[in-house]
Parts: sequence; structure tokens; C-alpha cells
Amino acid sequence: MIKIMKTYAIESISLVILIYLLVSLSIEYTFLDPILSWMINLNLGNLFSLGNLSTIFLSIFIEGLPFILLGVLISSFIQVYIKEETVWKWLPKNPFISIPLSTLLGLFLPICECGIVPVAKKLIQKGFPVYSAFTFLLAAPIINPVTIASTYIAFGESVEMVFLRSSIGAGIAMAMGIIFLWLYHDNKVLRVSKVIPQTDHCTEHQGNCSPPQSKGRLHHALEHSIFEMFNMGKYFVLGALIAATFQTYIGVSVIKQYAEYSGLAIIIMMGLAFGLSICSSADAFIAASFRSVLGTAPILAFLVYGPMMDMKNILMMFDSFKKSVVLTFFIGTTLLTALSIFILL
Amino acid sequence: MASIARLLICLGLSTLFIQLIVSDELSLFINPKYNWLIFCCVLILIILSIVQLYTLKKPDIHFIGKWGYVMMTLPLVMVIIFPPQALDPSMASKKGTFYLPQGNQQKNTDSVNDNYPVDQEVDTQINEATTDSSNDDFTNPYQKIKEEMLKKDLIQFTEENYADYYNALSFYPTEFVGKKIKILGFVYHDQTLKKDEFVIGRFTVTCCTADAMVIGVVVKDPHAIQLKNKKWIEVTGTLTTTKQEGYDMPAIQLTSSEDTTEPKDPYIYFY
Repeated sequence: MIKIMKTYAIESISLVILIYLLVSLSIEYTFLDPILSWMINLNLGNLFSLGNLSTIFLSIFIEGLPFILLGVLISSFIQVYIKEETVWKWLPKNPFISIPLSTLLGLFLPICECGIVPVAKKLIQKGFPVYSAFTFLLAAPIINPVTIASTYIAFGESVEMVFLRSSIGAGIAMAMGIIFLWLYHDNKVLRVSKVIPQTDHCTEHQGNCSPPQSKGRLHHALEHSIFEMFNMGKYFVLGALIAATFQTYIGVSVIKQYAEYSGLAIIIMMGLAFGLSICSSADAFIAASFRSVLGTAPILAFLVYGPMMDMKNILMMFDSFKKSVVLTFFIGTTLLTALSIFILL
Repeated sequence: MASIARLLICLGLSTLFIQLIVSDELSLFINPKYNWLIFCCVLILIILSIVQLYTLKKPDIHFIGKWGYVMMTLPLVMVIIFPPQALDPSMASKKGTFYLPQGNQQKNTDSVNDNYPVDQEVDTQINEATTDSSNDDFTNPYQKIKEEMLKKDLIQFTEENYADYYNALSFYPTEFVGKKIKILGFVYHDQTLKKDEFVIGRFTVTCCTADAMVIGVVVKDPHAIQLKNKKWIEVTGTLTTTKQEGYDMPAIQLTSSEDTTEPKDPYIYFY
């Protein structure tokens, strides 16, 4: 009996966990229940609006975590299943063809900005050209089916706004792609992360990581996802926390005081997009709520800049890429967005 | 040790999500339309924790700093310290608002032509409705809802019809003048309003609570100042209009109000 328990320890523990989760689903009771009902009586939430802070933070976390997990899974599967040669094969060698093509990648890989950093990082590790990867990173959250549909609905089914948003987004993404082509033609943009030395496991920097059997590969991809989840998760949580603090104590209504000065409003709306860190599939609705006080230009600045650049993305990028690369990326995109909005509108 | 921490965090997060699902509190954070996302999330977390269980004794393949663990535990800690609660109406002043002239009535896009000036345009829309109703349905989906509402003696806003009724009301404010209305919400005093006015508001959620906005109708009540912010009341009254920045907006002339408590799911979900 003990022998059986020892050999099947892991199986039996996972069985116990699964049964626990299923039971808690069916009897609608988990061990969190008594703790939560006890804490409700303490009512700490009224202290300094901390309850609101927590609600907004958790809503960003809960809404974003599925996308983080999706991004992490996709990147891990790219890591394990896709060989470097295959990525190269279908991408045109000429950067001036491949950069416009990568703006359209989002239509096939619809990842919103929460999950895109790990995917872009993995693509670069797999030998995907840096300029294309950054174009993809910028364009995919804007030019994807979900964002396009939500923008269309939020602005009273106006094609104009969708067109402006997508075309300016694509333009900036391509311009940044060309800048990266010029600055970082070698692929050394990734941050060298600490790897535990004594392990015989192949590290991500060697690139070719292929355990022998196919069953091992799946297992390996999933194992990899756990680590990726924690590495991305910490910045995601930090970003969500900052965004929630901003929303609770400063709020979007600040903008209304500056609505008369168009130039200032554009800058402030970009700052707001950065600070709020709302998912690109929902930000159109927020933007629509400003239509009474602001003109098209500041709203467009919000819509274009938000998906490309926000608090949690930048934090996640600092983990994956070199500092100088992230700074170039940040400054370049910010200047380009501001300039294009000022000139075009 | 680190692998046990990872396992516990994965399990803790899936327990948290299951707790929110079974207690129906998930709707306090995200639009129920996206519940399936959370189910997928729980499934992935369970798979990941089982994989972690199998590799419990293996050395770490990548380095995770202590902040990784601290930050991923934070959501759990937050839920336990501040149990799930709806957004407090005191947040209303920090959020975008929808009861002022806007939505389909913005100043500087093409659709202005469809709606302004209100009186003339509404008249022509009525004419169009009588001559060619199918065409008008296409241009404005709220035409039908408006007609349905006009047939009723008392227009009662509920959670299910709130979004539709609200849109129809703000599309055709002048046509509803004189109709009786009953609506539930929290009291919100806005600085831009007159002294004898307040807003009976609700939070709307599109995706998650982070994008919540206030919508509501202006209520005219001589004793408005005595009502406390964020109190939940049910208002009965007659619909009129009020001028806001030159536009006609729907408003309610109060006949009676009744104190209520916050509904279990206080948000309105558009789309």
C-alpha cells in the first residue's frame, strides 16, 4: 500500500486537488468563504477608498490574466515547436516588404497588448528579424479583429474613426520598424537574464531546444509557461496596481479642465492612455466617453497611443529587452504619435 | 521550496476564480459576457499546477526573483483583505460621465447632422418613420425601442432594459416629455448641474470595472441638496428636458423617491 502511494504520489495528489476543485464548484463553497465573510465585517475597504482601489486592480488582473496566459502559452509553444528556419521561410528577406507585412500579423494572431510582449520576445529569440518583431509588437494590438470591432461600435458605427486609428497605428508601427532596422540590425536587443548555471537543461538563449520525444515537448512547453507566467506576471501586477491607483485617486475627470487647449489635451490624453493601461479591446469605449469635451485629435491620440504603449507593457518589456532598446522604443513611439497627431489633425 | 510556492500560487489563483464564479461575484469585476475567459483561465491554471506538481523536485529552469512570487500573491492578499465589493459611487467623480450631451450627440463628427438641431430633426424622423419605417430601422435601431416605450403608461428602467431604454431616451429626449418614469440608481451631485438638480446614476461596465463609466438621468428636485451623494434611491417622476450647453437633454421632474439598498449586481452592461 505504502509502495503504491509512493509511486503514484503525484497522481494521487493531483487527483485530490481536482476533486477538491470540483467539489467546491458543485457545493458552491471554497475555503476562502469563511475568511472572506469574516473580513467583510471588518470593512477595511472604506479606508482611503482602498476598497475601490482593490476592485479596479482585481478587475484589471482578472480580465488580463487569461490574455497573459494565452500570450505565455503561445510563446512557449513557439519556443518548443517552431524551428528557426520555418520562421524565416515565409517572411520576405527584404525588410521593406516584411515590415508592412508584419503590421498585418495581428489579424492572424489576435493578441491584445497584455499578451504580446512574451510573443514578440520569443519571435526574436527564434531569429525573427528585430524590426519586424517590433512592428508586430506595435501594430497587432490595434490592427486586430477585436479592437477594430470595438472601435466601430463605440464610435456609433463610424468607419472614419476605425480607419484613422488603424492607419495612423500602422504608419507609426512601420516607421518604428524602419528605425529599428537602422539602429539594431543585429539581433542583440534581448536582455541577458540570469540562468541557473548547474542545470543541464537547454536555456532559451541557445535557441534550439528540442527534447527527443513529442510527449516531452508538450510537457516542456507547459513547464516553460509556468516560469514565463511568473516573469511576466510580476510586471503585469505592478502595472495593474499603478493604473488602479491612478484611477482611484486622480481619475479621468482631470482632463476636462484642459479641454480648451488642444495641444495640451493631446499630450494629457497620451499620458492618460499610458497610465490607465486599459485593454485595447475596451479603450474605445473610454475614449468615446470623452467626446463631449474633446475633439477628434486628442481622442485619436488616446486610441493610437494606448495599445502601443502602456504602463504594464513597458514594465514587461524592461524584463525582456535591453534598457536602451526599451528607451528608444518608448521615446520613438511617443514622439511619432505626438507628431503625427499634431500634423495630421 | 520555490516550486511549492509556484504550485500554491497557481492553485490559489484557481481557487480564487472558482470562488468568484460560485458566489456570482465575478460580475463585480468583469462583464458576464466574458465569463468564458475566466473558465479557460482556471483550466489553464489547473493544467499548469499539475505540470508543476510533476516537476516539483526538478531544479528551476529559469530564474524568478522574489518579486515574481510577491507580486503574483498580491491579488490573493488583496481579495482576502478587501473582499469583493462593487465600485463605490464615490468614484463617480473620478470616472467619465455619460449624462451630459454626448454619445450620439457630439459636436464635431459627421453624425451631428443626423441629430441636430434636435426639434427639426426629430420631426423629420417621425415623418420618415411613418413613410418608410424599414429604412429608418436601419439608420437607427432605437426607433423600435422608442415606440415600445411610448406605448407604456409607466416607463420602468430595469437591469435588462436599461441600456436600450437609456439610448432611446437620449436619442429622442423631446418625444418622451410628459411620460411617467421609474428608475433606480445612486444619487450623484455634479458641479456642472444647478442647485436643484442631481443625477440618478449607475455604473456601466463594458469590459472590466476599470472601464466603468457613470450614466444616468438628471433629476429636478427642489430638495436636491438634502440628498446625500451615493445613496441608493428609486425615483418616480415625469420626463421633461433640460438645456445643457445648448442641447436638449432628458430630465426627470421628481414626484416621489424611495430609499433602497444597493442591488446585488449594481452595474449595467452595455453590449
